[in-house]
Amino acid sequence: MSSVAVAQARVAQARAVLARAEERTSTTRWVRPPTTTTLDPASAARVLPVARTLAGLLPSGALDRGSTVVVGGSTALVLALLAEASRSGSWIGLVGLPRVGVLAAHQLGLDLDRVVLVPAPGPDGPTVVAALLDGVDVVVVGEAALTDADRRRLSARARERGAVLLSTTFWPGAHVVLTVEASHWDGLGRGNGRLRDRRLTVRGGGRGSAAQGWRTEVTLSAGPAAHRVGAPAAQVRLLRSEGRRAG
Amino acid sequence: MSTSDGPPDPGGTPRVAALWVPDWPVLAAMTAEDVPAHTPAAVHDGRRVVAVSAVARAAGVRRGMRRRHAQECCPELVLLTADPGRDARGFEPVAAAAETVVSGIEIARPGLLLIPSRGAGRYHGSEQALAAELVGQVAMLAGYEAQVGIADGSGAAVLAARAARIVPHGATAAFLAPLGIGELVHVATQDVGDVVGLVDLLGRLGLRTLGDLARLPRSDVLARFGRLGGWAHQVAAGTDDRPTALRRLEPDIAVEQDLDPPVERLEATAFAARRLAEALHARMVAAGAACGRLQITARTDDGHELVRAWRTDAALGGLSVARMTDRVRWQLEGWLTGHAVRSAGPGGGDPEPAPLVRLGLRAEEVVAAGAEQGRLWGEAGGADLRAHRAVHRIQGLIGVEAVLSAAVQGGREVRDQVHLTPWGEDPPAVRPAGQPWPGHLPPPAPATVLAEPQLVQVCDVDGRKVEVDARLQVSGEPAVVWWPPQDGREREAAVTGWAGPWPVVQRWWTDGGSRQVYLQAVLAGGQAVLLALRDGVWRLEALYD
Repeated sequence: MSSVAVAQARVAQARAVLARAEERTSTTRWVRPPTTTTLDPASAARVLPVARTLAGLLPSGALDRGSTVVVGGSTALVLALLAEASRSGSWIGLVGLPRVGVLAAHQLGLDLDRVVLVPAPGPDGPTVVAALLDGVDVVVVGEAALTDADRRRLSARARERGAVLLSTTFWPGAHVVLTVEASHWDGLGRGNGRLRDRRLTVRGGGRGSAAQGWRTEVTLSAGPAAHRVGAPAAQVRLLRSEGRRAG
Repeated sequence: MSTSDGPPDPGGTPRVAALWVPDWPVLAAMTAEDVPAHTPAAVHDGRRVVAVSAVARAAGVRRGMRRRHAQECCPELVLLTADPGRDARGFEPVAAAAETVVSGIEIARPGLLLIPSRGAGRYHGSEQALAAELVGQVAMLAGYEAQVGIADGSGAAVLAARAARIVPHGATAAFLAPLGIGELVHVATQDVGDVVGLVDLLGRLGLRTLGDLARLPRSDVLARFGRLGGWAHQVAAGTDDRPTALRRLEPDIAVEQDLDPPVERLEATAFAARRLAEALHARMVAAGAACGRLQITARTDDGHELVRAWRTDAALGGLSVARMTDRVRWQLEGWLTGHAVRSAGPGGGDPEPAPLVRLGLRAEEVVAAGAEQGRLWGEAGGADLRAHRAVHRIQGLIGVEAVLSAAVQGGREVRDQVHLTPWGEDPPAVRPAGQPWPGHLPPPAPATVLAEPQLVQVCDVDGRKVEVDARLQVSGEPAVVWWPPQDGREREAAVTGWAGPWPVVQRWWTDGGSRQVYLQAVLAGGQAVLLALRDGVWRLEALYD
């Protein structure tokens, strides 16, 4: 029992030190990224997990089932967002993404056994996406022949089926819109090194609670560490938050 | 025969008949290559002769000879290349001929059949009658001369077949005892190399005959020589009680129906599909069978034959009537609406949507119900079932080839390392991914791989094209990537960082060889790209976006 008391005392001390440091550097208004561990089992069934380091990108810290998400400007970010869900058993359909790097998906942690590729849905795009929404947990839509009415219908279907619809292009009425504003690569010199880590500045927005917008910085690293199961493939740091409470 | 485990109980060892076709590889090769039987022939694997026909053996050719040595012995010798696939294919008629005599056989290896002979011997009257019947049927139907041996246990049966003897019940140990230890090699159906090594070792230890080996305590042999030694001791002692793995051949089950009047409307086909599915299901239940594939055939009234096969996962609950009806309906939906129509006949092409006049269902890869292999971690869960169903639905809509599954395989280039196959197709062997593949591009892999590489120009500060020489020296530091004019606009971007050049030279000894260097570059604006120089032309291969 005494060891527990000692541990608790240490935690309290560490928190106090952290609070003082925050006060001194006037960073108390920064928001800590919400942690997925706080999810209770009931709400965990309504969301698909996202790597803890990327949770700060999304208002609820995970991909809400039934929601429509737009991720623009980075295929790698799309794949990284899906990695944790795929690892925990979700099925993923990629529609109209003929150029997606399957190897990158594998390196970012997607389980390819549960990935369905429909590179060219053709004129049947709406039917294909709808059929996939019936069966798989996440449908990523790239270039597909969809009208705005189709898109709205598909969003409704995703909500009804509890699937996540993730588009890489504009989608009317999306719940969350993530746009990559800037990207910076580390590891490359002039004639030496190799691409290693990547910092992405992502602007978030959308509907409802996400409407106020925020801007975050994420680090995607796909070094050998990313091959290890459970190793953090990305890290998130909140630069500025507007209208969001600490999680 | 005093073993530490006590004397083996001969009654516990099953009676097994072995049917052996001598020199099978060379016989199969001679049949395939139309070499007359009186010509001396041998099969060689590129280094040594591996099988010799009887005529060639009479001329002095032996297994293990070099090609030149064999031709020295017998100048008119026909040398044929080894081909395990051909051996297995050619043996099928022999197996079929044996199956006319007995109901269950095991093909131990091409050239050797194992048959549990207790029941079959009783049925045919005696073991002698069974052996005569087997030899006669194989000679008559397949046209090969075979030898049959019957003994206790499959190992002893193989050796009895080589001697063409029927060893009486209980006399197996006495039959085996004087045989040389090297005979074990003929019994082995797998790990032949290991068995050769074991035989060599046993010989050097002074065990010259199987009887010598059988006299040793089994536990000592097992402790000293491991699993293989234990097996050898069992064979030598005539207590090889491995059960024969029988195969049961099931014919395909098919149902067909003429549609009169021709069916044009989807609703009408659903009824036809339902009727056919019920008929097929009833026949499969009557046969007590399940199937691995369902083939749907439809004939249109302009004479086109449309064929498509579906894998029927046992994980999907096999084939129920409703599921079969669904499959057929999706398929017909695709065909009748003209989406993704493929002709199975020669000439290919996409026939116009047309009314259907005939519909057929065929269950292929039929196995006894309950014999399907489950998955290691149990059956698929609900989510997997839903996903599989959705994928099959889409395949019915837009075609089997339009829905892909991906796997990572070994390779050096970005595209080489990805293996895409139509969903549900059994993927063929891929290059092993676990190997090091020296020279492959370092991770992270590009997230966007262009289907068709873009032609670009990479220039140095002075505007000259960047060249890479044989020593991998760049002629100048890359400074600008320039895209040729497209829609009247040309585009260029400054290079802010770069790495390379990394050479990838592979398969240059074949027609499909390639020789290129890769360059990673970060352009102004933060985008990273993968550039390749091949045949003096720079190409944009992929984007790290």
